[in-house]
Amino acid sequence: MPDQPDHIRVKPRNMTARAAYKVPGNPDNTRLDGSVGNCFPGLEMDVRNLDRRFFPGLVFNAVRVPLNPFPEAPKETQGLHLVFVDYFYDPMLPDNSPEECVQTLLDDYSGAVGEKLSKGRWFLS
Amino acid sequence: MDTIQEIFFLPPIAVARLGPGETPLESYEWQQDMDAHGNNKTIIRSNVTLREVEDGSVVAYLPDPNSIRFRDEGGALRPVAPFFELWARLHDDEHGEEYETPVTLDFLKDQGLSLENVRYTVAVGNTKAERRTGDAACGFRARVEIAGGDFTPKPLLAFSPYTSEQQPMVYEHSPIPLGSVRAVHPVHGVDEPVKGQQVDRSILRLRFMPPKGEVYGPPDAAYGPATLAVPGYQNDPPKSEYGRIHEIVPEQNRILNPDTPWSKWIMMSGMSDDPEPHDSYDGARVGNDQSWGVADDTSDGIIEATLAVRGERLTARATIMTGPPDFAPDARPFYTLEDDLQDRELSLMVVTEENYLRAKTEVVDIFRRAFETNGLINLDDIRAQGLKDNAKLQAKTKIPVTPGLPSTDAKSMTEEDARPPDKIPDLIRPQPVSVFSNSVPNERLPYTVATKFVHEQLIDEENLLDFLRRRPDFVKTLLRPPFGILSQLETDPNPDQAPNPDFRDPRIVRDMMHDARMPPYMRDSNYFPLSLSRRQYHLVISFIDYLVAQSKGQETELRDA
Repeated sequence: MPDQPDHIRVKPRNMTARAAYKVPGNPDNTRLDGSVGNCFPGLEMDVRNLDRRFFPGLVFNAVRVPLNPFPEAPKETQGLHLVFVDYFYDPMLPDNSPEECVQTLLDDYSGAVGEKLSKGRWFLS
Repeated sequence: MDTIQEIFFLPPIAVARLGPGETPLESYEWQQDMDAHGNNKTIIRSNVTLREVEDGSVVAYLPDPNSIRFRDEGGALRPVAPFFELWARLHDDEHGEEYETPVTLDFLKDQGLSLENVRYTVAVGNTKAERRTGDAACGFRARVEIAGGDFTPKPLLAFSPYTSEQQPMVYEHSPIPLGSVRAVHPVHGVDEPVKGQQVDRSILRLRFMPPKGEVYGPPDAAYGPATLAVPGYQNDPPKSEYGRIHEIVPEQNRILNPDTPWSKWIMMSGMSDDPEPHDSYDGARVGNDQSWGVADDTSDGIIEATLAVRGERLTARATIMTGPPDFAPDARPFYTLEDDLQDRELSLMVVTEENYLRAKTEVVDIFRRAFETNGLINLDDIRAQGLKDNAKLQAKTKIPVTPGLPSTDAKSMTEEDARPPDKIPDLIRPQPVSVFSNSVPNERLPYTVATKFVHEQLIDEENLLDFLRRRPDFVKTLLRPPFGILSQLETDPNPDQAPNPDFRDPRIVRDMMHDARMPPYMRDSNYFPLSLSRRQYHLVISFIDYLVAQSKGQETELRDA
């Protein structure tokens, strides 16, 4: 190795052991702390996509209104857009759950509430 | 024999970066420059790099530390192609402890296994158009399966699966290459290109090679007018009138199906989801804003390894994301994907004697990164953009000025700001009350130059700590608070009401307006003014409180003595 002054390595920030390990061969800009977060427009990843199933039985997309919508565009189409009702396979809603709130939700989703939510466009904003 | 509990990849998640170059970018790391003229700034320096050789294995070497080539001879950007190492967590049957170790040829042998027990699956996709249109046939995906002993590169050729009533956006006979993946040939041997940094060549590795960074489109996505400005501001000229004509998609890439919902999608209709970036690759914001039906070759996906162990199949998964090239590799973002994830997973940090050193490292790092990002930004320009956005919002909502908060109109960051900036008057000529700064010869971008100078002082740890101790209240008001979490938010706030000083609420108009607080005029993923992450913000505030409490304690001790 050629002579060179000592350099201070920039240490990975507070991370779990597995994320802190520097894999030989990978430049630092492959790492999460070398990628832009909370960015407009997005670059590598938009972590809002990890929060699509925060409410049992419902799947959302994080959306915003177009910057310059047509006058006839529907209003308030922003925030969280309900993209589908998914109560059959949601692990938060087991059909044999003793929880009353779970059974109530399952009843609602399989009845009129679920039917209503499955039609049209719904937003939480 | 110890028992395998789990297998996993390191890194668990990695970013590949597009590049048409033939040679992958050599590895490098960030370091703090200690040269006499280095001024402690962050620099990049090469580190141990793995080169693929003819038999599919890798050899480790250290490139010239002072010369990192980002482009091939012809000028093509080199792709960033990360490796994934396969590791295992084992139970030590003798001592009852658990430990983690790389999966190597010897490891497999000790466990009575071989490469025949290993299998990889890589699935990547680009679903940007799918999400916008709500039509799954507008997404395109590739999936390959690789036997543990197959070391040839596998191209990831993506197309759109579809059903009888759908039109595939990408035909199977004209797929979009999303890169390739290769199982590295593990061979016995250890390289040590740097003393103390051994690279075991027998570790089971995968390498993901990203694609070139090309755009694809239907046959009519040929040429279009470019926009001159962000549309929608008053008095903007018609968007197609003065712009240059640009090629949307190279001729050889006009291979997509023109009869899909993506070619009919209109961003401004409000009838379909509009995730960000809302207009980055649909061609141009011209005419009726109808999409050109264009797609790029970025993707994300899952890398999976399975290991058959005594009748059981263990699975390791890692996430790969292909992003754009890093246009400023030595300038680190201050708000990273890691901060996004930490905001979700970790609780807020209260600085104490026990965690002070760790907190200090993080706070110093935030300020160093802020300086590095700052050097990439034309503050004069984004100030004009942010204040124009404010003007539009103000015209729509007509909210009164909020006393005590910085100005949101053209006074912002000038000497007439309701909360005048600290150093600006000392560093630049007086600026007009205008969204435009006063650009003169030798001082073209006054705000940009001034803010860089101010931030440069704070990359020195002693300077920074001194500043935080001396002016704690000033620094606290200088930071824009992050958005609150649900439990903090009022049930039904009045959009005109004054903001909470500790957090923002997206339903309160003033909280959506730009001002000179840090980071100034930058935008977050919702097009709102950017702040530090919630965890970063509270860390800095708590760190300042701790420094102040320590200083007061020392003063008391001195007085008592």
